[in-house]
Amino acid sequence: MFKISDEFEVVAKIVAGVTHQLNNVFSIVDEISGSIQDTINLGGNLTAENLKKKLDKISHHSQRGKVLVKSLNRFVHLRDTTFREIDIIELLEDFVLLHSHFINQKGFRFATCFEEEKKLVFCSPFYLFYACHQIVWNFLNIKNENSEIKISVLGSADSLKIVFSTILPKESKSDFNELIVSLGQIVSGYNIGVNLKDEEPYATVEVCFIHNK
Amino acid sequence: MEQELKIKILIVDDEVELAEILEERLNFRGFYAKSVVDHIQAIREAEKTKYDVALIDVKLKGMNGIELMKLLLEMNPELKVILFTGHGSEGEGKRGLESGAVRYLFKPIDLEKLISEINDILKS
Repeated sequence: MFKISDEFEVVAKIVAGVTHQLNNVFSIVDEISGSIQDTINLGGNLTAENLKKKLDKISHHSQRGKVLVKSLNRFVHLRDTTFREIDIIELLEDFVLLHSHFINQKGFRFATCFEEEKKLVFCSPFYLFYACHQIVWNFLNIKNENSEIKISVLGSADSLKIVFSTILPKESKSDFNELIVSLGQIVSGYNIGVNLKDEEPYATVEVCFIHNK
Repeated sequence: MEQELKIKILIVDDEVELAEILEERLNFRGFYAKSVVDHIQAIREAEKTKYDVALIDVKLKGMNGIELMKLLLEMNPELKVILFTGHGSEGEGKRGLESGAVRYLFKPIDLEKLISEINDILKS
């Protein structure tokens, strides 16, 4: 039987999430322009102030759409090269945006703690994104209720690491540990390491770079 | 009194701005429309007012739209539910229709089509 690879599944999930977000953007723009047309065609009272408010909203959502498309475009090009130098801050900003649909749906929220300054690492960009996705996805699947997922970037130069942390129920920690071990096996060939740190009640996963230059 | 005569539509969508603008457009077209963003507000609103139609986004925070629909139908069996979604999942649509929805629409919703659907549903 045909089995979709985990890597392909990540792409499918991201596309599904972005499609949903973009569809909302288009729907809002469509509705707002429709409401302006309603007022013109059906003889309502459209003040300059009201029109400006609506045009500002169209502009805001168009901007939101552009940012999403830009992030999606960077995501689809992650596989262009197996290894390269990558700015993990930019990758994490895209990661947060591209996952915001799933996070909201599950009632979770991201708390990000990283500076805007570039942090360069040498690894496989796609598998770095993949590792981050698998960690967050498993947090979401294991703990199905409101919670915060903290993402930090710590260290510098050759000791850089991305840290994901959330509160997990004690009984689910052994399953989570297994997932992280198997994730570690997949990404280790791409210069990426993942380590689980159990600091009750938190589950903390560190993503590090094995040979960062 | 005027409100009593209008067709009452409850809109449940966690995309706040979309829900608000749809509310505004439906009100402009002569309906009594009220938008809410989650299941808690929807249930509260359904307790206060007997709605004729509910437009519910399938993907809601906190509670799936289909589950919310079942609750609202228990509260008011005469309610006609139209589910809508940004996802094109046919399975979800089928499940919604089997669970009591009268229509399943995809976003972006064409307002003229929506109004025509509402009128058809209420006539039948």
